[in-house]
Amino acid sequence: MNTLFILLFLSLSAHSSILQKVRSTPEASESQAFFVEKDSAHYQKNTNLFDQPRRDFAFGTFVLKNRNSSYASIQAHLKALGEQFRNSDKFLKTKGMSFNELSGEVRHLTVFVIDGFTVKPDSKYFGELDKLFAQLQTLEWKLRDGYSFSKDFLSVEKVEKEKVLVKETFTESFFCQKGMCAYRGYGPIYRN
Amino acid sequence: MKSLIPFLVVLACLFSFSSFAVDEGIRLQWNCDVRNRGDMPKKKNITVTVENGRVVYRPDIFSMPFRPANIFRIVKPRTNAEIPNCLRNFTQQLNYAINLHQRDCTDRTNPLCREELEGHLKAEIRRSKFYQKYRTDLSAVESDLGPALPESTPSPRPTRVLIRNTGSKSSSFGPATADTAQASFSSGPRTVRLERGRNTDNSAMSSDATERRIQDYILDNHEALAVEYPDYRRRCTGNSAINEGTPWCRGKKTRFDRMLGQLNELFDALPDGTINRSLSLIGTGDALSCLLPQTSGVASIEDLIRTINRRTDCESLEPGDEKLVPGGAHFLRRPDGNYEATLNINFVPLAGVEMTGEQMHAKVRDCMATANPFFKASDGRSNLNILIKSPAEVARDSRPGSTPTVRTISIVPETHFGTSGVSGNTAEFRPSFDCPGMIHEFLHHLGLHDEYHESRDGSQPGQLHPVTGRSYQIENGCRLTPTYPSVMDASFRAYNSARPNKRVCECRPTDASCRNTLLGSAPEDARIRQYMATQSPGEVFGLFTTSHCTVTDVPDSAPMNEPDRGINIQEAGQGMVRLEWRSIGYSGNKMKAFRKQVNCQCPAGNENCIRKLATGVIDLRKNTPSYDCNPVMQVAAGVDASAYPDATQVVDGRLVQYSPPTIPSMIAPNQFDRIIRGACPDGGSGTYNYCREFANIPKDSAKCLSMRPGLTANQCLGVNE
Repeated sequence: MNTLFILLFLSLSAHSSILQKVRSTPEASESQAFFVEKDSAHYQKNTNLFDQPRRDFAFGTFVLKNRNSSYASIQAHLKALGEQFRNSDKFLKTKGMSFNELSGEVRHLTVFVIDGFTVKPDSKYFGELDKLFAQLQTLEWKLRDGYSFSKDFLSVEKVEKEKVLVKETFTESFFCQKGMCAYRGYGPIYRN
Repeated sequence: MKSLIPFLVVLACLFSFSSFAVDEGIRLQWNCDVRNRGDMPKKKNITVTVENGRVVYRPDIFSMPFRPANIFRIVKPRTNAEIPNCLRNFTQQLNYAINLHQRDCTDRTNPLCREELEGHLKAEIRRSKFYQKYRTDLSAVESDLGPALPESTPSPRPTRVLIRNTGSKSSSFGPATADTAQASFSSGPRTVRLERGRNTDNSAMSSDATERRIQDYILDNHEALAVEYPDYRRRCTGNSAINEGTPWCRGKKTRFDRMLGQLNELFDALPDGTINRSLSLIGTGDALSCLLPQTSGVASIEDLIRTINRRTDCESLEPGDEKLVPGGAHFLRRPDGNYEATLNINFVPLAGVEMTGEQMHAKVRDCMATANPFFKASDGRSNLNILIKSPAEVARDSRPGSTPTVRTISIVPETHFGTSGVSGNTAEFRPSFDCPGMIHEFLHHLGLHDEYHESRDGSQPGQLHPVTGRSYQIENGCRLTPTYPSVMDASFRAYNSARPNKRVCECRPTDASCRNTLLGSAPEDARIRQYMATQSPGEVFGLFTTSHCTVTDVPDSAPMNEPDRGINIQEAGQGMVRLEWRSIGYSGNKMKAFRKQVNCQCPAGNENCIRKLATGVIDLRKNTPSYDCNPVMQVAAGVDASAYPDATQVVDGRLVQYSPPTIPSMIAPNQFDRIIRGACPDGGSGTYNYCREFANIPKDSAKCLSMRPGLTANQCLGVNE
């Protein structure tokens, strides 16, 4: 649903930017996506693989609580990059190609997807997007809808509209293997 | 009768092997004047020398192994005008091949040649019926060539394009997509259309068809670039062609024609010598072919050659035989009733990796030693040994013409794949890569394809592929995924199911309650011991499938079914299962079974989840002991498991968990045949090769919708449902 929503969102809101970091393995597609708009922002994550500087154990949709000055700078940077990719794509289409076709196969790689354009690790833009992604992660996010695990992984809270709805027992021996867990469609969740 | 004489000589040689002699230092050189219209060399040399008692064949073109099939390939005529020349060459070469053996056999004082010649002669004997047929047909062929052919008839069946850059002029290539590369030549920028088949043949995955290698070849090595369409050849032009007139074939043909037109246009616009070109457009195409199209006018030669090539490429090995599989991916031997497949693997550690290539080879050898006895043919009589050799070992053990292509696998840092649990792929191994995973990757190199479901069960429902925008249920969704334990699907499941497994588990030193339970005589202790040895449902279903389950506690007082089993399956259906799992834990200082109600329900349409539950229920019903020790225990260190009985029981205060093999082989019958027969379309691997064409294509593609086999994946593997 995440990406479906992303695509729908993209088509409806041309002035917003979406930066997604995603890696697909044979087992799972690990994704974190930031939706950056003029007046608001939210963040969706199904894995803590890309968490920086430390792993967090909440999953779902987060909202930005405080837009500070760095937010405006990130927003402008993302917009400019998105424009650059769109222009490249437009040009390539006149040659019968597209930006994403040129990117080629991304299976099992960690890639960034900015406004629908895929950037692979060998791209010169990868490092730049990685920095932007890290900056976005340092902003103040709050879980709006999803699940939040206790530190000891004995329980998990279900959150809806920023409120804890229910606290459930978590059977780690069933849901986790070799330091990885999966729960209610979220995962992989890395313990360490 | 005259034409039979050489064969009688060969036969006579075969049965009189007392000794052979080939003079040391003798050198025979044969020049074939192939009159190519393009820029291929005028002379083709095959040099035969005797070095240290070994006969060494050195064809100088593309290191092609010396085989009659390869000789035949150089004589295809282009036009009527060239037919006499090609026929002359053909006859020359045929006689050469025969005379070579005559000479070797009649001059027999050197015993060192015996083994070398024996293999060749045996192979020649088997092929002699084809020679014989050809010789018988030779006059018929000449009259069968039909009416004069127009010069430069457009190709009806292009399968390969070769581009050769002489390097004489500067050129550079920009990024290439599937079919386009931006090229800068001294005459100005150009667009070159390149064609490549889908990567359905994993045995060729290290070959030329990647953008980087295309550029490397052209820019750096100035080598020929070969882009093949094995699918087109197999499906549209081969003897087993489905139909040359199908939309798929017609569509491809249109693209080929367009591509060729563009290439020719490009070449014509360039100054002479900028690019050496040769367009090899023949069904069995290779670089030695005469370079213009075949037409129906020469069908009898074409058919004959095709038949010979197919038979020599695809024929099964008799004991004593050996061959390099077409494409050179691996070398096959059948020293006795069993088979031996050799891969030439160069392990290269990346910067920062302490493990050396030799250490990885040692690890791989240990791994293959545990697996090789379990690669069995369906008849149970022959076995396949897979040898992973370093290039140095291959050079030491191989003769010219029997060297498999070197495949480089990087040894990557443990952190290379992040913390995903991924340990390797066909080109990258972590030092800690597990044995079943490595076997899976080596089997890719031997030509098997993935059979797991790429639906990304761990993704959010409905999540889309970031590039194609298609659902993961769709991406690669045409792949046939078996319920049979296939090593190309669930490598651990296959590895554990095909081998007898014995695990000796012991309590941790400070865990008195565990020891009391192991040695206790109460009925409850006996039950807990059973539960301890049971696989957990999470282990069986897999991590991401369990995320669609709920787990709740069952009161001790609730009625209990099948109390002696660690898992009681209450209900199982399409995409759902309800079961009670007896998990082991502690209550105070006593070990206790905690009853858990597990309910799993896959989201609608999540085929991977549905399949994992189905195969999991099959495995759970077998009540096979866990392959790992229960988390409350540990593997008994330093014990010789073979000293313990083949049974699940407590011995010497330790819990022995034993399960016999539940499947007859680690590879299914058609997978076995695929490895020993190669990619031949009708080469005896049943439907495997056809099924594999659908392994990497989307579920909603026209090909999948119109041509996907009406078979189950288990049938593709040649196993019963």
